[in-house]
Amino acid sequence: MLCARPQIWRHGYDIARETGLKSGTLYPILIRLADRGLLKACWEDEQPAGRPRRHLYQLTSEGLARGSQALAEAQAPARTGRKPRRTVGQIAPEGM
Amino acid sequence: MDMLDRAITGLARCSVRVVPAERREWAEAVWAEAGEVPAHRRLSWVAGGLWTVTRQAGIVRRLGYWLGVAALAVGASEMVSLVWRGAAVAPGFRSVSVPQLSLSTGIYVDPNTAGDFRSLAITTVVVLVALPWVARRRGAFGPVSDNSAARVVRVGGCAAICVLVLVLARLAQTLGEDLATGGALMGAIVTSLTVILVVAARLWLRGPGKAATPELQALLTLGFGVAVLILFFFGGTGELIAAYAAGILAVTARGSRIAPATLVFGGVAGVAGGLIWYAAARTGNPWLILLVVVAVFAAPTAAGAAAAWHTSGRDDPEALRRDRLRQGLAAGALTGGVAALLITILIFGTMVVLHRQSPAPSTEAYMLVLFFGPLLGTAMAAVGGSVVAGRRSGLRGYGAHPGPGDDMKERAPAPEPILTWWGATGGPPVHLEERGSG
Repeated sequence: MLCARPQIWRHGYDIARETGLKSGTLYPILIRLADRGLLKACWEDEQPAGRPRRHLYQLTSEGLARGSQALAEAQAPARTGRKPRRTVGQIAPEGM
Repeated sequence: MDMLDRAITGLARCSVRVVPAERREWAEAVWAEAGEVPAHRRLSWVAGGLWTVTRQAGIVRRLGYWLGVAALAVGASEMVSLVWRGAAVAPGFRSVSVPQLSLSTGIYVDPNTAGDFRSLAITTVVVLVALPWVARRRGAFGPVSDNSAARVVRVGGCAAICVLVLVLARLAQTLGEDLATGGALMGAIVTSLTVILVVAARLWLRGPGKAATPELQALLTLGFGVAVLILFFFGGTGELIAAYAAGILAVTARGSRIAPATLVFGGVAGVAGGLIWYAAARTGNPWLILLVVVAVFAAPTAAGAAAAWHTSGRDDPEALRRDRLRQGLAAGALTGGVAALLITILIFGTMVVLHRQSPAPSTEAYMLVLFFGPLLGTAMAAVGGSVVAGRRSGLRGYGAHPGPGDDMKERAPAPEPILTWWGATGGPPVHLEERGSG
């Protein structure tokens, strides 16, 4: 999903809702991606009224390239003759 | 429910402050985004996210370790207190001298052994506290390595040493079996010669020994180990226990080159070997005794081979072989040491608890296990380690376990996994990885 609209900054719950991942699953992934320089993270610039500032995420150019490559490979199993690998977007959403 | 919700989220908010600085931003992110989550899911969101961030920051591991250290400190002070106060000599058992009534405790204390064991208990605690503190900058005995295996081995090993001192003291105090041998002069001679040997070994390994083959290095290291052990054989119980403490602190220190897997292999094999030995000694079952004989040789050999097999990641085959031998020898020494500690504690502990003489011909024979356990373990592991040290797989960039007949030079570099996790459904691991050019 981060690859689909790479220019948009997404916040954690937004990603969790769309992918069906729980916070205990989502955050290790985000942390690992950020540690490897594949994900940018920042706080919202302005303090919105009635809620705390959000922590926002966006793929870096390297992250986008790797994500797109992995998605392409996962979606074309017949060409490589290998069993498709599951990616974030392919995990069946389940209740939070 | 609303109050509980407020209380738990308040607690979670406070817990953000204890997360280390490098991960605090993520903990704050979990908290900040909790406002977006519907009320009935908020608790699980905050709890799940903070637990993960906390776990990634190693807080639980550190907390567990420090709780273990606190328990160890309490146990060590209790050990000193129990040894200091002494215990009543069991009726019908010999004593090395006429026990005298201690006016302060009302317990009959053997004057010959009381001083020995009091100084042994104090020396043990001083070594356990002082060694890591003195050598904290070099890291030789200092802060514990940042992995669970090192923490478990360090806390468990130090606790076992404290228990051993208490058991030895009780053995003398209740059954008159005084195993605290060696005087101050002998101790000083043994310590000085050991320091000279260890320094000579280090200098040799850094200088002319660099050019030697790994097998020769391992053999000479083994030789130095044997010499040190022979010295300790003529030394006293205090020196032996101090050596065990130093060994445990050294292999689990941050500066140690012993891998966590080596500690696991050595520790598990040692515990298994020790338990088999104890079971055989208690039951006298001939099959178990046969199993002991097998375990004595097989456990350290298997631990050494497993530790060497598990070692990978060097570019240079020669360096990898040396590293494997080192890990194998360490695993064997650890196996022997852990088994020896466990055997003596269990055998002597049973005698103290049951007020019974040793099932062995003499208790001194069991003290020999403490001397020769690590030595035998290292020797057997040298065999196991050298068998697998020459294995060509495991070189960095070539995958850990190529199949038979694989040509190393034609293999593509192993892909670096970027993302691996268990899916939300609890399904198989999900991979999103970089492909090699091949």
